[in-house]
Amino acid sequence: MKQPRISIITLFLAFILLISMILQIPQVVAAEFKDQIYATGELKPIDSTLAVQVGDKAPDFTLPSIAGKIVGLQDFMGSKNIMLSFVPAAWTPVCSDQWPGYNILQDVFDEHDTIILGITVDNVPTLHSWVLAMEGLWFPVLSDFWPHGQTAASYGLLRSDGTTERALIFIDKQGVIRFIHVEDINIRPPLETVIKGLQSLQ
Amino acid sequence: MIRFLSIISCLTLLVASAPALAQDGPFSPGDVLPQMELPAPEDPAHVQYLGLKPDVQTFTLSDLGDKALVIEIFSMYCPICQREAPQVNEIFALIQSKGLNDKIKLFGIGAGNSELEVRVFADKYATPFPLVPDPDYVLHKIFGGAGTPYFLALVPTSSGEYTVRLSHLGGFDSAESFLKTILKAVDIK
Repeated sequence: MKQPRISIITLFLAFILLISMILQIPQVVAAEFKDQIYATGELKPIDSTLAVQVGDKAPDFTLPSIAGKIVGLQDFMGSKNIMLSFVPAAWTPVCSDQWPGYNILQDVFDEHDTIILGITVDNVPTLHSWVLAMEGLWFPVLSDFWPHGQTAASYGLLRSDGTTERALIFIDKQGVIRFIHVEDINIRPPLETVIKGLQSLQ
Repeated sequence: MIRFLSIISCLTLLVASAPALAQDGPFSPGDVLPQMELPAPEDPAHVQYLGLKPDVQTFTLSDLGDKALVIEIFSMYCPICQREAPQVNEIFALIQSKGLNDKIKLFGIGAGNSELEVRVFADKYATPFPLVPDPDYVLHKIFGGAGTPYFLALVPTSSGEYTVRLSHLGGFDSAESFLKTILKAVDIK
């Protein structure tokens, strides 16, 4: 009778260990910033269905920016390519570790005549505080808060919990989508993907 | 037989999960760094700086000889690492100007950074010392999964391991004073 009991205990231990291994989600956040970040845990990688494809005219929008302006696609038509960077939510681990990297790539974006428009579903005051904690960004950060996630939804990037996918949409100066990348929400898109998107605009 | 299989399966799981359980958070002075294999730097000058063979693909810390080490865990995506980069370059320059190049070596590990991401960071800040990629966070986990930047000053032991003498998370005041703290920790005058 003892042997089966040991087996059950072992299976229980094995289960606990497996769970602890699965929950080891790799991420790295700036040390002085780390305590302010909300740990989301691992999320469903993708939770929406794209509503656009390469070659489509990009759905138009206007959104408030943290600089107090209203910014839309039309502001850049004919003059700049655009990379829309949708990130799920402010103050979360991977998102806080994505846009600061783009801060040192301004010359690369300039070479490709491309502006970044960063978009989340958070409201402007939240985004303002978050961007300050990142020590500022050179590109516009836009709030898709109200009507909630309307712009994200028009691209098919609004998740069922009201956040957005982690997605990059590259739009040329004529307003045509040239490259789409929807990343696993738990992972930062590699820089190689950003470069590939920029190259699609040539 | 069931008992035997139970024990074996349990031990297997413990070994499999060992890296995850090895270090949780920053090291403390006196800790011994676990063994690890690192990718060799791309730049031949950096390979030479570390004292590695020219054609080497990977290295371990014991390949670096009997020298003290400063390791910075950084990320291209970390604003503090970006802000501190010129200061870390200055630490490297001070080590050279003080004639300590043969006594202490400095290199960085890009946590979650690919080769391209490490190269972009190195080019942006004209980093004069080696930076190696860690795209899958394997090394970052060994270093406790801490935030960035994370600095460790280490000394070799007679058995080829490295003991932590200084563990510093986050930025620092000035290159001169931080190097002074590092040198004191590793007993270099």
